[in-house]
Amino acid sequence: METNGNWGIVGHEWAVALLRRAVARGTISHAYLLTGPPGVGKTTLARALAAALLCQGEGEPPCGACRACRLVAGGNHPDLHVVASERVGASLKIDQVRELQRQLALTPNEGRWRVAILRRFEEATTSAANALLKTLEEPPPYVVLAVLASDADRLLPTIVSRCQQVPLRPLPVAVVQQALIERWHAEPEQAELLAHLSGGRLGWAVRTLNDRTALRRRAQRLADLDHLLNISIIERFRYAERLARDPVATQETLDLWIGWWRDVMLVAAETDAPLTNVDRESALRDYAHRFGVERSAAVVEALRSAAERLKRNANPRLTLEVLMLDLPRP
Amino acid sequence: MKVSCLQENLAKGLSIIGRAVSPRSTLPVLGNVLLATDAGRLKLSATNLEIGINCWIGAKVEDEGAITVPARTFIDLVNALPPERVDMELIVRTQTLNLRAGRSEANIKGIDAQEFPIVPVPEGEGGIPVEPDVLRTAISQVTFAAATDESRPILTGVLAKFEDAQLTLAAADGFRLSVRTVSLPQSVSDPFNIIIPARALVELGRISGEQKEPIVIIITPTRNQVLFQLTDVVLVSQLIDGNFPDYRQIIPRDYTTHTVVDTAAFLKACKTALIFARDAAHITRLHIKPGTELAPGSMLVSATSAETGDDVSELDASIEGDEIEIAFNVKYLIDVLSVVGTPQVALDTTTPSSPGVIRPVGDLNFTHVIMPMHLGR
Amino acid sequence: MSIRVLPEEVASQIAAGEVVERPSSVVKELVENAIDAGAHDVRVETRAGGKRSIRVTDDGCGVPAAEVELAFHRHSTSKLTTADDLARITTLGFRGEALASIAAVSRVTFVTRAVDEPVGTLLRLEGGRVITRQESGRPPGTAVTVEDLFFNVPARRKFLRSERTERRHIDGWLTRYALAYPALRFTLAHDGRVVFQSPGNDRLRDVLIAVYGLEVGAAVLEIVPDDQQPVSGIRVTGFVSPPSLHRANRGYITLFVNGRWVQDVRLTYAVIQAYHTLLPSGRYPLAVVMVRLPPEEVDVNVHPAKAEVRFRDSDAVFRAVQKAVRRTLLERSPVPIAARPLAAWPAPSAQWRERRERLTGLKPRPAGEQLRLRGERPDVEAPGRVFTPPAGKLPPLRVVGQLGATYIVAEGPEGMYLIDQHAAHERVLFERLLAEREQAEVASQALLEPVPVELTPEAASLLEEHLDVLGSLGFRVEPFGGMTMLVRALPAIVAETDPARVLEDVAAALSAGNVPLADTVEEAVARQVCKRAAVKAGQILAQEEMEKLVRALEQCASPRTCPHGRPTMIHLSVEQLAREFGR
Repeated sequence: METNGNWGIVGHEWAVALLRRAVARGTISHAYLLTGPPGVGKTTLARALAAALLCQGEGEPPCGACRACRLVAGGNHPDLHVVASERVGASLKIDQVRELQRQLALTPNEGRWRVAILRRFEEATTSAANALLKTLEEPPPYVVLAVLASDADRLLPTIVSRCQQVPLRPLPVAVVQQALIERWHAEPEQAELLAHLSGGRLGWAVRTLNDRTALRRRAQRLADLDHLLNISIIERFRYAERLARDPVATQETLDLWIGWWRDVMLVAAETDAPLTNVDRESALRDYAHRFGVERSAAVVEALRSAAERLKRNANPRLTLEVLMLDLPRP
Repeated sequence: MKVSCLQENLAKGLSIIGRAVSPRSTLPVLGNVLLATDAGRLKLSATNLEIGINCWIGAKVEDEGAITVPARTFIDLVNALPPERVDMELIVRTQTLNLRAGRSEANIKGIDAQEFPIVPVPEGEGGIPVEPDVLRTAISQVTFAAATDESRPILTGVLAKFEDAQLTLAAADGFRLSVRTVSLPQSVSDPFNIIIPARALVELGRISGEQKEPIVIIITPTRNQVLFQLTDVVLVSQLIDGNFPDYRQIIPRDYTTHTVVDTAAFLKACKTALIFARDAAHITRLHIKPGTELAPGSMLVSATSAETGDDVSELDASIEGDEIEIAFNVKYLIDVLSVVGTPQVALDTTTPSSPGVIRPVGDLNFTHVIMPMHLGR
Repeated sequence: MSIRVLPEEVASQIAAGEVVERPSSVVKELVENAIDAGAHDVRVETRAGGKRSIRVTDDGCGVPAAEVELAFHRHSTSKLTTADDLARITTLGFRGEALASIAAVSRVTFVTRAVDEPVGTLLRLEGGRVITRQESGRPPGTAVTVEDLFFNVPARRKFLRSERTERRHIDGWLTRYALAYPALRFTLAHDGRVVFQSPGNDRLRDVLIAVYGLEVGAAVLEIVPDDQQPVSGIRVTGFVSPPSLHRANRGYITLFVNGRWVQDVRLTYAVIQAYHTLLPSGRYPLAVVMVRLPPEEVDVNVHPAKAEVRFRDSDAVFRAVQKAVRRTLLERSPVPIAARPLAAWPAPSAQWRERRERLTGLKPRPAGEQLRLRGERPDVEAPGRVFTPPAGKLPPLRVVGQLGATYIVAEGPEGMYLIDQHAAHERVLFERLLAEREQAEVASQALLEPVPVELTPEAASLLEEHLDVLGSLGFRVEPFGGMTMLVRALPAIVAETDPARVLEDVAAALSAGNVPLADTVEEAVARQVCKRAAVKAGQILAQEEMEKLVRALEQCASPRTCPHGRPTMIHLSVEQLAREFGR
């Protein structure tokens, strides 16, 4: 972890090194595209970059102590703009991009830079994305944009091609586990479980650590899954209808189930690959015994394609109903 | 912080900085005003990250310190106080401002002054002094031509060009251009250009009404801000980055018709035409007819409304050149005629589809260009 | 009514199929028989949604005693004898299966007396077999009681829905007959309670009032008959809703062909099509449309449920319906659409004209000229016709205030109006812009510097294709190589917006699939321009501005919808208000 110097970032050494070098040498790009699954650390890294650029302290930035670093940490720096859709699943609108452009047209208030972080940019409407193109093409000299997205494929190619890409990959489980214990003071057992469940997404693990109901929700959803396998199609559809009403819960549930069935598949295949749901080995073995490699692989596939369709704005209820048909029947 | 001042001074200071408060910003602290002791006075600041205003008022400072408090609440409270002495004390532990005046006492929860953006103040000597009346007139002649639509941010600004002993202000919104030059008492060492948001200049015009001393224009060393220093007030504006269109190319060099009319009469005719032109995209026709041996030249200002009828005003005009019919947006005519500032105004035209140029007669410092309108094809 | 058994040949030509599906099909068959028997008064009574019993009583011609049994013979009918007759079907129950099919699955009591016979007959059947036959006294006509439907077919009985659902189906059929036969009096009673009764006075509007209530009944417009004798022999009558009255689905479009209720997607579409641009998207008119055409032009024998028809020339029927409805909307709407609002202003006085002429050297435009259609430009000046302003489709409204910086609250003689300021302004601008275009008088504002706008290849080529239309609406745009267009001037009403955005909008409106049928490129472009130019929701308007907008809206030909078809206003009548307040 020390390799990341004073950036305070766990893992992602390659990305941090790249950005540190650019800051140190003054070869900063005007636009970075940070990609990776939700909770992997994109916003954290983008904020660290902003702090490094805006820092007014001594030594290698960010010093973490100067006024600029403190304002960035508190979300109050006048030269740092964070834009995102209203909530996960909503869209980032053209008016938000226009307002940002208005602010970016003005010279920086306190430092040398204006930094804009555009979170979940895959949620931008086409017109919003097109509007941003103008800024990407001719940014004012003091502007640095950090465009964040889960996947570059889900952005307009014209956006991607105008940014320097910084893909962030999930961290090794051990790194997440260690960070949870050392930095966030998690109990070792809890840290182990969360690290596995997180799939290497430290942000997700930290959020879940702080969210008391998260583990209860997980237990409920795994119980739901168990239940679904034993009920009629009509009852499954009823479940799908209920679930589809909440896009956030749908996403969370699909992610969880994907991890679960992947584990089932791995157990059934008798591989040594690390499992996600480490606390439920016996249940996994039971599933593996019941469904075998082929069928569990098919379920993973069905879940993946459902998640993919939802990302592409398919009708949630229909998608989930199709998924219900694909789940193994009793 | 422990400080006392007079209610009138505090209320007046707040009214000066009040317009720079931005209550609906993503940064909550921008909805606050900063109160800070500063060299035996009380400094009030507000900023919306585009325009910031500092205002100093006389005060008795017992303890140094600073705090930001919600602007709306604080201003309403101060305005409601009796015109007496106001005592304010910051309770640091709770970041609460305790305020007493007469029999009133209030506690306002604040936000740490450290979180407030820096609103720069002039450092040291230097700067370019300008006569306040001249600058105010120039602002009124230029800012109205700046764009209000944000799609091209650069056009929402006013170009300020400092060269030798002259400041040129220019603004254009895509349909019209205003250019005004102002003499400076001394030459600048190196010519430079900045683009100032029109809103900031309008605000400067508003708060400089009582200013008698020259207004000093200061560019910060980073070239990121321009400061206008008034007596006890400093207005700071961020600048707009980019290249302003080359306005000189837009001003036509020649004309085929030169028309001089009475400014007030022309303005009145336009205001009448506006009543009828409202429904027709403000289109107003000028029919310029040079005089003959027997009759003086005339300009007919006419507008037609499908719903309310039509209107024609005839003005005496002294005309050199050809007869011409040309149409303009009457709102644009009214805007410029309201600020030309001379009894007579000149309009130069060439063809119905080329720009018209308006200048005050006897004042070479102001030029305004308007694009014409068309009916049909 | 003389009944004969259909020859095999005929029977086989008739579409087969189950006739009796549920209680409502029994009602339908029995009511059709009653109508064919020349009844004036048809009474339908049900118990338990028709599951327990259905009784249909009529005052028709009755069945002669000698033919009563024959009526229950499969493929018997009093209406058809040879295959040739099939081609000239004019009565409803042409398929002789009805009574037999019903009798086969229920307990039927059939009491009838032919007009010219002194006594009637009572026949009781169970599962199709005659149990009792006796003489019986009753006035001329027939009363059929069907009990315990499907008593012998438990599988079918199980499929019957709730009483409420079955009642709803019966209600549907009876109202359709009531609409189709306004001269007949229909009474419907469920479990002893009369739920519907049509007046039987041969006035369709009165039936509509009985079916849809007073408000709808009063508002609907009677279809304007075609003055010219229709060549095709197609006659369209009925009622359609004014554009201000609409429903969320097509279920309120009721079609009859030669008196038979039909479900026909194309004809339904013909009705909807006639409302093009007048209704908000996703809203449908309410209509009762009767099409009459020579029997040989139509094949009703497509489906046993008989709700489908096939026309020999379906395009002709489509056109006839669409035209009739459109004509009605144009003529019966309070102000004819043909008279554009600009045309409706009185010409300036002669004195005024003279002064204007003297001052400007411009010839005044005769008021009548504005009424001319596109393309008609006579060389000689038309005499100045003076038109008084029309009373307006909207009554004069008094502006009360603004609501949420989005709606204008106004008061009229008939109650309260809530006007959507953006939609209303769009409508005003749209009509004004198109009218100005007719006159080649669209105001255009030149730009200080031409603005290059980069577009997608598709957008650029679409715009290039329609440069003339753009020109006529105030744009001055020229191709600038590649996908870039150079904008030199914009329609004055949108001049203050970003040229790139306006052009992108226009291109999007023109792109394939977005220009609706029967809509012109001009309208599509004009719509976009007006959308940009109109006041937005959230804009605070001064009293004067609101009044101006409402006055202008009163002058519009189609004031109740915006150019995109959304409503511009909601009307709350005095009665509604009183009702809501329980006064």
